[in-house]
Amino acid sequence: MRTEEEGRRPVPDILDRLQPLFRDVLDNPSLTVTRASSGLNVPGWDSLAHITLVAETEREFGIRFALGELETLKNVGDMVDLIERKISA
Amino acid sequence: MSLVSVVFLFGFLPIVVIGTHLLRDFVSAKAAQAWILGASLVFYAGGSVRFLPLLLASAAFNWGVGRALSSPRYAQPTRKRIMIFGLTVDVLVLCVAKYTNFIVGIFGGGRVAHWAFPLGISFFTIAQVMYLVDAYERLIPASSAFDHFTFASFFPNVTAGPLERVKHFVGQLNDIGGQDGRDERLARGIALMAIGLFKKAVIADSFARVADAGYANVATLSIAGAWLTSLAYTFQLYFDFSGYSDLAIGAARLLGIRLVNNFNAPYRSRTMSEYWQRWHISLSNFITTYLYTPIIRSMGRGRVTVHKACVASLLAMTIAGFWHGPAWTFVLWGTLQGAGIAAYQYWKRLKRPMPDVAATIVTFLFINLTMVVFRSPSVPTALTLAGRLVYAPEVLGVGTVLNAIPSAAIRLIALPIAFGGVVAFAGPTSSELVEGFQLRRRAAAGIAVAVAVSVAFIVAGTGSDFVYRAF
Repeated sequence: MRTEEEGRRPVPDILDRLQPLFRDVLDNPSLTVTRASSGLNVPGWDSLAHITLVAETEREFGIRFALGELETLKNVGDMVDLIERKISA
Repeated sequence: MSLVSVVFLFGFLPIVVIGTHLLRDFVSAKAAQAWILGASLVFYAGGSVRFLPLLLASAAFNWGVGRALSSPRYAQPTRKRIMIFGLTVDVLVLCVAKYTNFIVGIFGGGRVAHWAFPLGISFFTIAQVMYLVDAYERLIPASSAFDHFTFASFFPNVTAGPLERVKHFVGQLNDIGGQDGRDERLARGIALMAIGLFKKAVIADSFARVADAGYANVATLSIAGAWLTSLAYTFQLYFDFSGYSDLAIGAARLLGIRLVNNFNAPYRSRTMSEYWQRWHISLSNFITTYLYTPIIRSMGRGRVTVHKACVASLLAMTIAGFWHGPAWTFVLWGTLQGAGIAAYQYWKRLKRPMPDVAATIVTFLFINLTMVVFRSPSVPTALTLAGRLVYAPEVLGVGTVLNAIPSAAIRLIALPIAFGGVVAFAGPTSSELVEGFQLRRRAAAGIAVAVAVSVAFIVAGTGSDFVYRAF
């Protein structure tokens, strides 16, 4: 069960926790993603990478994305916002 | 009634658009919506009156299931059973309507006579499946019956997409015929329709003359004839389906509804993964979200490996292929798409990227090969044509193809074919053209010329219906 403190994690912390996942999944140790990063501007971020990122994110944060939410994740910012909503719900 | 018919373009659609705006201005948005719902039912009945009750029954059934899924009365396990029941009924109806003869044939039975599958059923079934899953996942509230029937029967996309989500569509119903940005919206809708009409009536139907001539003589094609035939169909399908999509999206825009984009210059793709992000985008999104992802998730919560992803791609794309129609050619086509995506995933692991031009050429040649399977009436015909791409007794002669087309027609189609061959690979896309569109005299003249030439081609009788209307 999440503590109340964990439920109020600020957004930058979510982005920090996502960085190693992106580096690992996209196999790019020097990668730094920002809220604007997406499949359009990050090499290797295709549909397989996307679903892998989704799975790794779900594991890291102990959450589950609904299928219908996956299409709304167009960039890292969308992911961060949705993760924040889910962990604070 | 087809979106490319003179009756639709110059009779039905203008009446619906004018009526929508008059009702919106002088009565209410709901009256305009009711007008569009009525027009949609007339449109569907005009194409397939005997199956109109099925469309209405499907809308009513899924609306009811959606209401139940949104009700606080049911606990989670019950909601899951309701969703599974709804999805099962939808898929069963689709299977019975579309695949009865195919399945009977597998078990050695004869064909069921006069079995015609309902217009648009593949598309409206997918739209309802997405609705039920979204309602189950509590991503959308239950829609009203009025909104749901408007969504399910919406005439611009009911026959062949683009596949819409209830959430995206219903949220726009208040904008129907609205005054905000009306002039710009109407101008852009007309521009997009003019581009789509030109793509279909002029370019796609010109390629179709060559493709049809070649496919009627597969057994006697030279190597060059086989390439001419296969390439002609590859370009035909793109201009046919993207032209249809432009017409559907443009028609919806005239009414104040934005449908999702369906194409983004797919033949410029460097990989098969990229191709499926640019080709039939609304179906591709459905496949990724509602087939590929659940298949991956069903493989356990461990790391998504490239092997798992490749198996999921093969399965999801094979199902998507079969969705296109009751034939082994579509199954094989889907499997080849999955194999192409899987091959790219393994290639990527080698970390030896090709130059962009080489990657685009390799991807396009693979797409062209899969289109041979897609177009052929049977797998043996597809294999014969594919074989002739590499070996045939004659190498260069294309008389088998060209002699089957009247010389007057060849003069008519030569320019559109050359134009189509270029714009598939270079220049702005339809949506880029329309987004940058400014209503100036030159643009209006361009639209007028595009429409006039298209109508001339339609009246000259070279045209055919949209390929995807048969799915």
